[in-house]
Amino acid sequence: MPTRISRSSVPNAQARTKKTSKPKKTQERALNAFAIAEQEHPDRPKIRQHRLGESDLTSRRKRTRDINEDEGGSDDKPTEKRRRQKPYNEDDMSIDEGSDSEGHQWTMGHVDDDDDESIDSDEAFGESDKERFEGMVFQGNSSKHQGGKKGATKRRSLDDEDENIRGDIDLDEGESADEEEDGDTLGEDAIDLATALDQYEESKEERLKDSKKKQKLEDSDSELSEEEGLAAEGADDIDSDEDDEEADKDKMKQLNRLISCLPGDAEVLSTGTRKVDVHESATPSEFGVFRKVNLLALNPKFTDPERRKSLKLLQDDSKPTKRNDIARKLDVPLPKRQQDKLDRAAAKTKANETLGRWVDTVKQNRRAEHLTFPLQHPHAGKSMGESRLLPMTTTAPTNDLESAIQSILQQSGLSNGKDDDEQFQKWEVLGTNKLPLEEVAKRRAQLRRERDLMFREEVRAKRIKKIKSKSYRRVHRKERERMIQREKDALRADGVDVSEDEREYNDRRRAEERIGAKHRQSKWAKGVKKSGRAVWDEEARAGVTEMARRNEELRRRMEGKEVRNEDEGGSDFSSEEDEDEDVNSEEDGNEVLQRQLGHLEKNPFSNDNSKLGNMAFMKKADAAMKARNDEDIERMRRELAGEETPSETENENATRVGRRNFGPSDKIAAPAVLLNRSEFEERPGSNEDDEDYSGHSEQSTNDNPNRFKSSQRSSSGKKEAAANNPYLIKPSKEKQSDKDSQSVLWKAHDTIEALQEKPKASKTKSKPKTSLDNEILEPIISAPDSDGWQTVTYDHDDEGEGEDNVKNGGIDLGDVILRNQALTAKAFADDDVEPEFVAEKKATMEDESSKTITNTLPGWGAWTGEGLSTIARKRKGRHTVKTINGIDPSKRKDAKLDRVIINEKRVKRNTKFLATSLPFPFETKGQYERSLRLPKGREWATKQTFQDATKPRVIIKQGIIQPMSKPMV
Amino acid sequence: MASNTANKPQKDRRKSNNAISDTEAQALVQHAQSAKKTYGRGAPVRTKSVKDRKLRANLKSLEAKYKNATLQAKNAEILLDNTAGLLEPENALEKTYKVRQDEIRRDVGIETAKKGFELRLNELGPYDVCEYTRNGRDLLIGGRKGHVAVIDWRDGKLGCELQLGETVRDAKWLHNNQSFAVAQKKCVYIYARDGVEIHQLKKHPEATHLEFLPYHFLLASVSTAGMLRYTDTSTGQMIAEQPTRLGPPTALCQNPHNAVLHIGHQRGIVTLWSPNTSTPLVKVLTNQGPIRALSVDRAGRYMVSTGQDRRMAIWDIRMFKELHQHHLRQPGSTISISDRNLTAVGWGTQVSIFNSDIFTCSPDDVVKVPPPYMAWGGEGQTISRVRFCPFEDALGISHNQGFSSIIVPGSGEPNPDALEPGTNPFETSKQRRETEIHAILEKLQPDMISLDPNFIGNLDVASEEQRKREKDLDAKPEDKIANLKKKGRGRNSALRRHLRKSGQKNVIDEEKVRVREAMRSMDKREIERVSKLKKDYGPALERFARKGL
Repeated sequence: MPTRISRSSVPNAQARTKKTSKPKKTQERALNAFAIAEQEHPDRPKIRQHRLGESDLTSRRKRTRDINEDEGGSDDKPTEKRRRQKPYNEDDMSIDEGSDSEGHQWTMGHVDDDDDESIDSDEAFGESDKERFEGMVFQGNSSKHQGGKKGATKRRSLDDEDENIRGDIDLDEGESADEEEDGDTLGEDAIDLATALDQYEESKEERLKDSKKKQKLEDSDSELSEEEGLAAEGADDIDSDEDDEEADKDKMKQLNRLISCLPGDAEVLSTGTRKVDVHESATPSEFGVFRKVNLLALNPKFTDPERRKSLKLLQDDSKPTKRNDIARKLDVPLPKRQQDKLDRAAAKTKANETLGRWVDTVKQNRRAEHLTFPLQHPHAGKSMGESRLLPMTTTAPTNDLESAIQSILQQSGLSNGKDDDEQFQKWEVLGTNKLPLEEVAKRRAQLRRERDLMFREEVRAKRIKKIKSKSYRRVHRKERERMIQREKDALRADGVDVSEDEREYNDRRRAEERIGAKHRQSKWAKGVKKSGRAVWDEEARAGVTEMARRNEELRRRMEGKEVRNEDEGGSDFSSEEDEDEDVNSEEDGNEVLQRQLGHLEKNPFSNDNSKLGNMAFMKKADAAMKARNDEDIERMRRELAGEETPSETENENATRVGRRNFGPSDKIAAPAVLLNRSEFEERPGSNEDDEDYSGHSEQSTNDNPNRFKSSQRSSSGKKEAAANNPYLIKPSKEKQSDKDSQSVLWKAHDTIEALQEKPKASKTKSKPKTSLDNEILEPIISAPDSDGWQTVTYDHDDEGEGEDNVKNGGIDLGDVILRNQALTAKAFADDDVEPEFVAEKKATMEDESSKTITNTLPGWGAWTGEGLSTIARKRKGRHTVKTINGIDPSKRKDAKLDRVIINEKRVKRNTKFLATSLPFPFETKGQYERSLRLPKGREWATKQTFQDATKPRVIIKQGIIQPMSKPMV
Repeated sequence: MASNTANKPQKDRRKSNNAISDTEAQALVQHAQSAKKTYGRGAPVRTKSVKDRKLRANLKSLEAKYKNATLQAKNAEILLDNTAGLLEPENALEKTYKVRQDEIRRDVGIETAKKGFELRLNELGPYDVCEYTRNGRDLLIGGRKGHVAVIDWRDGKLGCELQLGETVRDAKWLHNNQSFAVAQKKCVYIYARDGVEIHQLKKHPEATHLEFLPYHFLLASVSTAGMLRYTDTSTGQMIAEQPTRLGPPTALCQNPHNAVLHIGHQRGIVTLWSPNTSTPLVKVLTNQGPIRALSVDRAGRYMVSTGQDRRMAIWDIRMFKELHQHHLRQPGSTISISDRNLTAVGWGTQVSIFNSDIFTCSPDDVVKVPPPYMAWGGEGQTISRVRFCPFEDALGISHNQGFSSIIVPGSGEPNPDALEPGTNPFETSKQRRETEIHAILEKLQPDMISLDPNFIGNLDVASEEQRKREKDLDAKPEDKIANLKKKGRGRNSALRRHLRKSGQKNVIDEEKVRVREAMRSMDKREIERVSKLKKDYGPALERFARKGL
């Protein structure tokens, strides 16, 4: 029996026709095992997940139902029912493996839920279910009982459309037609239920289509039988199968059922059929429609072009039906509560998703150090020049638009990418920064010279240009041409061919020159004059004025006046020089200049042989020019010469300055030293002597206070030795000669210095020239005597000298110093400052270290009186031992400082400025104290830092603040 | 070919650009390092080890801010338009200490030359005192025989001249040039600029040395008996009175960095004092004989002391280590360290000015004592005090024949900070008044004086045991209601407010009862007062007797 295919369920191109074997009622039972096995098949219908619920559960349920079904159990749960309705959603053709119409290759296992058809929807709808689904209407029943109009009409429409191809399909499925029936009915039932009941959201167009179809149906209802007949005919035409008869019967049945489904007229009939056939699924119904039928597969069978067309149309129509498909095949809606729950969950995920988009923005704003409302989008650039004045000549694009324009311009070649040049320039500038100053100066000078030369060249070229002499020009032109020719020849000889276009270019230029020649008597001039073009034509007027100007110029030149022409053109003359320059680019600029001057002096302009040159005005002009030129040349010569001489003098100066400066060169430094030395009479003794007294001097300038006493003792001992020394008296004579009246002070400092620097001096003795400092200082100290004592010469100055000097009279200073030291040491020898200090420190250390205090309170904690045991009597009172933790002497701050006592006691009055506990977010003391390290006040930081530190977190600008319209990150 | 040649220079350019950027980056790094060195405030915390993400982020931003602040401070150096310099010898043969004042005066500009001058005051005895104000505008000189004079020394204007007829031991400017304190024979007096005596501080008897802490408004004096006394000059309160227990003091100076006072004693000991402890914070044995003079540099790093043993000791008082010491020919009687760390030492009749090198040379150096930078004197004038003038290249020397101001190139800080109260050399009288108010409002508490001035806000690491020990267990619990009673009366009195705010109305406890009682008595008194007033005013005016007035 052929199945009808609803238009809506016509599968799309990729979907293959779904061929399911239709087990007959009798077969059904037998095939149950198979069906069960099939259940295990993982082929799951394509249904929205939330509609399905849990897949495991449903499959289990299904199996149970299968068992129940055998027993004819009617206690199916609504869920099972739902499950049963699903199978026709199966459109996963890859598994179904439907092949083309000829092949008839179908995977048998995919008679999805074929066992389902064994149960009538009514049967399945148990008692409990009835209660439950009271308010609901099921399609399968509705057609019968309520006659749900919509479902019915829809079905009809589907039927109608599919009439044409029905036959064909029948033929295809001829073998399995019987088996199909059951599944079809059931499936039909299910889908119709779905569509009828939950008013599934179809797209509007579909609805529209439906309504149209409905109308169409009503028209064509009467012709139904006819059409069927036609269809049958068609089928016959196409295929002559043995099963035709059977198929026809089936068709008739189907038709009947269809009619029965129709409201009104077919009611009686349908009821009848229903009753006859328990398993209405056995009969093909419009549910067959929902199986995937590949229209393409049918295509070749239609020979009639019209039909083909219609088929195609159908196919086109069915394009969007994928969705439709799913829609139709959907389940009974869940109870409202569950549905709402699911909806809520879905809505929540949706909402979360939309909210999630804001998360980054919110986070960013929370973390932001400062917020300014109204919030600015971070990528929304400021308007140009808002915050600061922009330079007028910015070359780089400042915003997106400009950069876009720039890029477009560059792509189209309208803009020369000059940033390259700029970069180069920048680099040059920066590069010069790195160069030494002289180098830069040299370069500058070079540049200046070149510029000067160029300028002169230009001037000369101008002058040459002004020469009107034709003969001169001619001669020069010829010469030039000859030159060019020669060059070309040379080039040719070398193997380089002068290109054709170059020649052409030259020719063209010549022609243009000729064209451009505007002369009074020329054709052009006459023409202009005649036509009066100068009045309105800008170009012509310009030409005329130019002509007039030239005329005037010529006249003036005739009078011998100077002509000043601002006009500049291509110079004919300089080319030669240019070449010269090119050749000699490596040569010195001066040379080039000199040669050029020579050229000039030859005066190439003076061409006496020409007629024009002999004319009076020409001569005059020539003379004037020559005079000027000569003058210039002379001046340039002078300049060139002058440039050289000053530089020389400069160099000399520089060297002289250098000589004046104190440098490392020995011969220069020597006289100064000598000069200085002359102030002091005696040179120190030999080097060996110096070396051996150095040790003594070190000893004598012992400054270590720890060794104070020992040093004092030793020095006092030495002093006595010194007193007997005849060497000590000797230098007193020298003082008279030293009348330079240097301040005592200087000497004193020198001596101190000398004393301090002695070791260094001895070290550098081997190369005396290098350290002049020592040289000077040295003479003050006399050679050491046999005892190792050195005497230091000292200038007598009665005014500045203190009591020492008065007392000492003729004795030299070094001794004085030492003796003074000894005296002071002696003076303070008695007060044992240091030992006392050490003792004090020890006392403090002990005082502040940890202590154990034992307290006894007599009479407390013990009994007294008579009759006490000896033990009790011994235990007179309770000892309380208390240890006070102090500072370990080794851990004191002054543990290693021998002359310092640092108070380790806590300063109580300071503690009120301390934090008693670590504030919350910080984890360590270091972190916390670091956070306080930088003061915020304006006295300790720059203005900017201060303002940044004190800027409020949220700044609200005046006006309306709109909420954020979109996420900012 | 052509394309190759075209590409080549481009490559070169790129390369050179890279080179430039490298050098630039290096320069930037160097800049940042130098900024950190001068303006950085300690080592950064390790943010990576912090587990809490928020804290880590906060600390990171903090570090970034600090770094930024140092960079900005470094960049702001561009605003310092003056640079410091020193006399520099052209060659090794020249010695800067041989340069004489007349030579300098000849070579510098007229205005600068004017800074070197001399006041010959032969009759009024040795001038022991010379002090400049903190902005270097005014000079205070005092003679031992009672002559005190205030001079605007650059203009040569005499502010006031006092003949006290009493021994003047010391004198000090207070927070600005409007008043100064003089330690006289019996007690300390405060005079206004025009010579009017404002205060007599009887509680400072026989002060030998005075010192003024400008940020705390504390005037400190040490008496002959060795008592150290602090008086708050803004309130007049005596803050602390501490016996040094080391006999009569010989020298006193303050550490401008942390406001700790250094007192020199007879035994060669220097003690460091704050008003918060009865014992010295630190005791240092610097010299063998009595200390003659003491001075601490501006940054509080180095202390220079001279003693009767003719030694000059230089100490690093951050670590309390002696850098080195050396001999003077005579005991140094006075020391002054300039803003640029030039050290002037007056010994006998001479003054030696040392370069800042004396603070940097280590004991291991071959050259133990660098030669002096400049020298002055030797003309028979016994030097009694030297003081560098702030923000000027001038050194004031008071001696037995008057006062001399000499030019010491490179001694003064070239860039004054106008935001710092009292240190603006160009301030107008209005600015002076403003800054005075500001300074008083921002006065630091005497309790804040400590060896480490950055301790404020640090974490107290004392153990619980120690804290308990320190806690005063005998202290009376403070009576809240008694305090409230003092506060005020009327409709919104503290008592009424307390009653209103202290929770449920229906719960009556002892405190509430007391409060009500107090209120009732207050009301009663008020009523009585009003009735008394009415009586006083008489029938015509009795309506003006109101409550709450």
